[in-house]
Amino acid sequence: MQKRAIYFFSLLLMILLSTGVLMAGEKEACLDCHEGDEFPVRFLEFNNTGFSTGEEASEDVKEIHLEKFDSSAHKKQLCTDCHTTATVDHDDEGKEIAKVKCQNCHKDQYKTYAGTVHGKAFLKRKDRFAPTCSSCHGNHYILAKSSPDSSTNLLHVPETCGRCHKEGTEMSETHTIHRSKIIEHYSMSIHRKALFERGLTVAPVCTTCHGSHDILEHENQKSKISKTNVAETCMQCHGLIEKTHEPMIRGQIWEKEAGKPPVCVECHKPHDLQQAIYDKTITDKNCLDCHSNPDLKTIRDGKTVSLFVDNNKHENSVHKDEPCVKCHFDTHADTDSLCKDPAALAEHLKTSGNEVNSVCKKLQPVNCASCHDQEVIAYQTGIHGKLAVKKDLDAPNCLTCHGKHDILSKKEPASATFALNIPNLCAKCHQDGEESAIRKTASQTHILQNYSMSIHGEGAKKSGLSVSANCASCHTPHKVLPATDPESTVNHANISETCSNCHIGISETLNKSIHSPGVTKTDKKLPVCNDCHSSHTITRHDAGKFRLDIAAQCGDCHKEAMTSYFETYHGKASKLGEENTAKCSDCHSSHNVLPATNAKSTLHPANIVGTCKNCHPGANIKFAGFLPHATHNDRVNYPILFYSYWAMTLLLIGTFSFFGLHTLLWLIRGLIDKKKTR
Amino acid sequence: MEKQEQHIRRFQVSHTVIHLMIITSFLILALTGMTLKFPDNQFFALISKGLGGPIVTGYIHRFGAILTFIYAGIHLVQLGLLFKRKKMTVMGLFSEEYTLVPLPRDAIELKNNLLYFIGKGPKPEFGRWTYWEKFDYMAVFWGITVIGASGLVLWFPEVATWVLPGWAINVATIIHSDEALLAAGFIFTIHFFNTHLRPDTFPMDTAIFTQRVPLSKFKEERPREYEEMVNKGELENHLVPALSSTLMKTVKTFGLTFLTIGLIIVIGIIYSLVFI
Repeated sequence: MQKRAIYFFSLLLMILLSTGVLMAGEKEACLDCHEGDEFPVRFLEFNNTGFSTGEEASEDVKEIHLEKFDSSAHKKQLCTDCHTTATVDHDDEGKEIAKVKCQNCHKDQYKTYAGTVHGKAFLKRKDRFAPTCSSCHGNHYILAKSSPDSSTNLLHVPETCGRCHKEGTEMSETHTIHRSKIIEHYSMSIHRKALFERGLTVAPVCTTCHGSHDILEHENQKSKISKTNVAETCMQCHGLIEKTHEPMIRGQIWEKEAGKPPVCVECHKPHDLQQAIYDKTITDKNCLDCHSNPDLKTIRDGKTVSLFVDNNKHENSVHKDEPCVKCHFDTHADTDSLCKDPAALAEHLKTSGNEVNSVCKKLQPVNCASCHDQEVIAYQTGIHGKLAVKKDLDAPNCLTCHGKHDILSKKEPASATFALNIPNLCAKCHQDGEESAIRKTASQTHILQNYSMSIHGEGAKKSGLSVSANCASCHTPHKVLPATDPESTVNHANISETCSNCHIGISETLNKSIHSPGVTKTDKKLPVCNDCHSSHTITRHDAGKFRLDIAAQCGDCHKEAMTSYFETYHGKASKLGEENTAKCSDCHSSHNVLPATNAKSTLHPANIVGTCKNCHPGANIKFAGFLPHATHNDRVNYPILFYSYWAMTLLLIGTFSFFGLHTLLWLIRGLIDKKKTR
Repeated sequence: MEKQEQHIRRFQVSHTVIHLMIITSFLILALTGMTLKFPDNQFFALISKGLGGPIVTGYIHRFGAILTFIYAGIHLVQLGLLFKRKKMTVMGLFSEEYTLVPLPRDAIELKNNLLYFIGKGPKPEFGRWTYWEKFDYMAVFWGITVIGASGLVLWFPEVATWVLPGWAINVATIIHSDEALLAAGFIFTIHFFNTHLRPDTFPMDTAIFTQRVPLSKFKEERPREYEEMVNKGELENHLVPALSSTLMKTVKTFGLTFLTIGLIIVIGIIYSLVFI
């Protein structure tokens, strides 16, 4: 601090001591001569490097407009704050004004600048193209970068840098810059689109990656764009990029050195950034020149494989707007000599019988993750992906379900992944007798048949309801896991949530019921949807077998209630196949099961008559006093029934004992008498 | 049974009609009722299914009930008419030969009959109604009242609970069910044996259908009544010819069919009680 103060005061003293010092408030004194274009300018243009170019000064320098200056960032400064050597009569004295030294105030920036590629060019190499402060910031009318009109404002940075770095400028012609067509490429990039077309002010410009005062060449280890730092630079914005790139980094084709992921710019060209990375110069026509040949083939693992691509199918596919190279980015069109020479290729095909095996480079398998990364992550987490990693031949991959060049959107009815077609698609492996069913003796059999007869299957097949649940609705399309897996959507712990994707109302009711883990804290297993509704065989709840099975289903846990229910008319008629007599759910409700003490319970004294009235329109409060679970075997709780039963039973025993004996004796006597008469 | 043998007229046509109504309604009620009482019994479950399920079975059961109420009503009217025509008096109910009211004499006959069974006395000389016949008759009165009343509670539970508490439906169920078990069990075993299957009459006594009894059998079975007829000189008035053999065959076919159905039901009941 002290040093600075000394420096400052000595500077001040120097200024004061100099002749004809312009004092504070004497801005006008300068403007007497310099304002407007009235005064003939006799000083030469110092080009932006500070060296005289021998040309007339630009308008900006020679004409000083006070209003414009007063709205600049330096409005509070006096002319002499920067032009320290200026005196009122400097012109008469023939004195040359010393160059402005921005570092007098902007010391840190200058320090940084001095070590950079620009700074070194200016200070050491005296490169006339080297930019100084004013090259980017301007002279008298410097604006803060937050001002939209500032040359250093986000929106103007590419333009400002482009003054030198644009293709065709003198600087770019005379200097070796590592990248070419920088501005042109940037103008095509997703970053520029984000900024100028979508108006995203967080989108990067030159300075975001290269820095402003601290620009270093990419070879410099300290550079923000050096190989070691570039990932960090990109991650200023792309914070979670590592996570989304997992399948690509792990997938071998992305890995140049074992265990070492490539840095961003190795795949994403630094200026010409696109969402996908492929060579746009190779057109589909280049590919189809060869691949539209229906006979084109190769030998792979001893098998003949057709290399024909039916472009008509591709034209109708969901990828119709995507070029071949977007998926087959490691195209051989630019490397294989035959691709470039149609005549030679035709000749080769003639002699080889359309076989290209040894001639063309084999392409890597398409990695769908380059666009569909979320889906692929899900797939890899699922059982299908896990099996695929183990090189299991039965394991399906993207193509198994989606197809190749003819991929259709799942919204297209003709697509294999269209909602109504999914059951048949999955059944290709999961139907009895097919791969999956053979290898895994799962708890579920006859999956397709059962599903087809289920309410979901009928909804889809008979009524053509595309919203009716299909395999993927419950098992998810990509992250398919066995029910035993705690992460599976069909795991006991998750199934209610899965069903609630469609049955949200029921889910809300169930979550408030006594069967919800949120309501009842117990070690016992609480029922979830498929405990009562089954899975693939799910049927309508209001008719048929489902109603007849309710009591047994509830009885899995509520054994006593089930036993006593079956002793009543409701239960006995139910046993005889009557669907309409009351089942558990008719009184207790199906999902809204609550203790009778709860005011919302169907059994609550306020609601019970209404519940009975569903079947017994004439029900009254005394009628509701019927004991639907009463048993005559329980003397403590139902003494009246207990004694009624035993009174009746004694009557029976008494009558039958007496008359049984009477009859037996009579029979014996009768037989004796009959024998006598004979 | 010789064709030419003289018969004694024992019943009126109306008695036959009523008994046929009883048989029909009783078989209907017992069979349909047992399907609900023993739904675990495959036989009854099959019957229920064959009839169209428990709801339809219930309608059939109620039809049986209506039939029962009808014949009960007819019989009460008959009794009323008998009183009105002075053929029956209140005093007579406790003294006359025609009475079905159990009297002290019946207790003596019961005792003597039991002694006879065990070989300690002669066969008692019975009159127009033996004690077991009187029991059968009174049991129907009792049964219709108890089963009918409890049945009505179950039929109209909403109405019944205007007056009765809710648990009365449970009690009615127990009473209806067990009393029916008693009735069916009694009729299909004890009554069947006493009236039809006992060695003297095996396989069946057709009197209720033919309204007549061979004179020899009448003399043997109801000597006291026969004696009274002879003493009063009214025997001739009661003599009737035998029925034709074709008619007898028809009667026996019907009778044995009813008997068989009843026995099948009772086998089903016993099977359910013992094994299920």
